[in-house]
Amino acid sequence: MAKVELKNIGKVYEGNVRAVDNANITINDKEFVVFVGPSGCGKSTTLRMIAGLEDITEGELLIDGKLVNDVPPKDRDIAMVFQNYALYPHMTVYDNMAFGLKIRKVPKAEIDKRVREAARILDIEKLLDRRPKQLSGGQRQRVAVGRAIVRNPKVFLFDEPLSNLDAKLRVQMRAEIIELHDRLDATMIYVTHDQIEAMTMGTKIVVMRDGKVQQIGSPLYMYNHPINKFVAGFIGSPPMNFLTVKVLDEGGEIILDEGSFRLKPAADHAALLKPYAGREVSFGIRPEDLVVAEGGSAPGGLIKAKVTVVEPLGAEIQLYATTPTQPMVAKIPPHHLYKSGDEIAFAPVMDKARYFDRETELSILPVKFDEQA
Amino acid sequence: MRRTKGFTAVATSILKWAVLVFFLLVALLPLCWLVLNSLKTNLELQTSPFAFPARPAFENYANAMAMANLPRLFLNSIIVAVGTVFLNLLVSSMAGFVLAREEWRGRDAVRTALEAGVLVPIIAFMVPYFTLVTKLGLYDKLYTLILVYAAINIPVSIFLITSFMRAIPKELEEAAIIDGCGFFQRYARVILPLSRSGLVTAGTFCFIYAWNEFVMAMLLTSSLSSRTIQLGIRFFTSQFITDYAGMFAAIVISMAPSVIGYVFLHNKIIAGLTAGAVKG
Repeated sequence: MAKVELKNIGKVYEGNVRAVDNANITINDKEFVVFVGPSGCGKSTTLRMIAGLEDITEGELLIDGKLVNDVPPKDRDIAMVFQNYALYPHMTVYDNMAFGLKIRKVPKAEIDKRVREAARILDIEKLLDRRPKQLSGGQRQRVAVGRAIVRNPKVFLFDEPLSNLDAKLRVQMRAEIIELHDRLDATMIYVTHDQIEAMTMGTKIVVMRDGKVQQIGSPLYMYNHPINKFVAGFIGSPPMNFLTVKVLDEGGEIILDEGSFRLKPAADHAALLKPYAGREVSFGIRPEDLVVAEGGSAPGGLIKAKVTVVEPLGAEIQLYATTPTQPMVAKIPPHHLYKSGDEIAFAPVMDKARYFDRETELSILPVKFDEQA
Repeated sequence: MRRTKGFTAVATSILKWAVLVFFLLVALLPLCWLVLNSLKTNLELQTSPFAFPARPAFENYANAMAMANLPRLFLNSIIVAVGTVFLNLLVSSMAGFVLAREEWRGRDAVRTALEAGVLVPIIAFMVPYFTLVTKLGLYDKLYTLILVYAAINIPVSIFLITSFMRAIPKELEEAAIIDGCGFFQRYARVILPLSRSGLVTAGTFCFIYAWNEFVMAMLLTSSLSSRTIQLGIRFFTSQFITDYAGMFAAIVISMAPSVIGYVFLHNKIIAGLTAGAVKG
């Protein structure tokens, strides 16, 4: 059992620099939670506060219901995997993995058993006598994970562990860590700036920005119900398109007017957009929801644009287009043969569209801050 | 045009080599002369100081060993040098750890003050050390030399060791914290082994200093029981006669440990001196 609770956690550095502001996050037992956000958003600081490597300026941190704000890292029963692996260069792989257990005075036979078991799980049995500098990046990362596994901690912490690996290895290690989570059935907290890692690995994602938690939820919930424009743009690749449109109330019928095209929102969306009549809003649409209109019309209306760049990816085409004033990107099936300069018409899937207030950038459609709350 | 360019290059090269050879001669000639003369008889030395010996007089070495109680002095010097290195590295590495790895108010000021010790000429410490040592009743003790030499070398050692310790990634220490290491374990099991090159460099400097030191040894000791080899060499000179051949042999013997030490460790020493110069 390992439940981690962050209650109103804040971190203020010298010079009144606020790195984390009022973070409220509950990480349930056996959950794989990913903190994601751009550089400097406070995700690593939050993780380091959980690890005990940073003092907590304000708020409470509880592990299994026990307040651990002032408990030293070694007594928190956590293990951490660092971005640059942080393997002790003067020790062999075996000693690196055994070090934490030796410090804790675990009997030698038990240490040996645990190290060999972890090495077997991670397929690094043959490397046990080597030094870190004799290993490749992927092998080092495995050893770093192994060092965490042998400890059998309540909570595993990962601080951008894959960012130093090449793209192919990253995908492989990603799968291995997911598999490891399933096998160990442990609580894991993972920090990354890569939203694809967050989407693929996490059972729950915490999106952060400028020290503030933006939204908490499952990857799909976040993808489909972003709370604000930042989350909508951060989750998903290519990112969601945002087009500025004016909301018009034409005799009770809500119309979105961009200037070069007019769209009709889905019925339930229209009711929520009504108070915005006469004002501009951000109309958000995912690239895969921009469907190429084969006919001349669509129930929700058409977006007419000019193709600027065509990127064929084999299974699909990423097509960059622009209205007279606003650019957008669409994911379309590979059989479409467009080239730069062609006129194109999209029929957006209006049920999937999102709307954001232009001033607050908050979602106009109702969305939960914390999916589980 | 090409010929002029070629000529300039050759001339530069000749000049460069001439300067290098000059400095090599300046450094090596006295050493060669010393070794050569240590193999001559006293008569040869006085009559033809720059000639080769007619027959290498290896007995000078045996005489030197017998005459000035050299084995005893050699042992004393080894005790002093090894003791100095051990004590100096223990203190400097601990200080280096706190100065390089821990955050505390006034740290930079303390570090600057300690490292500024490098700038003070050792001669300036003679009177204070003599007063302190005699007042504390430490005069003419072998361990006094260890204490004084270790102390004199602290600024240089701290300078070398902290620059090494600062280069160790922070994450390694954090990994040690997560692994359960306390303050001392972090120092002893992670930071100290990783500063090996810095310790070797500082230790070598310390050893060479302690081995070659003369002034402080003369100032702070008087009896044979606490006499070092460098001081012992002085006793080849008496009021009426000087056994130069024996003295030269003794000097060669006294130089051996520093030279051998440097030959074996020079790679580490150079690495230590250039630590942090480039990103590793």
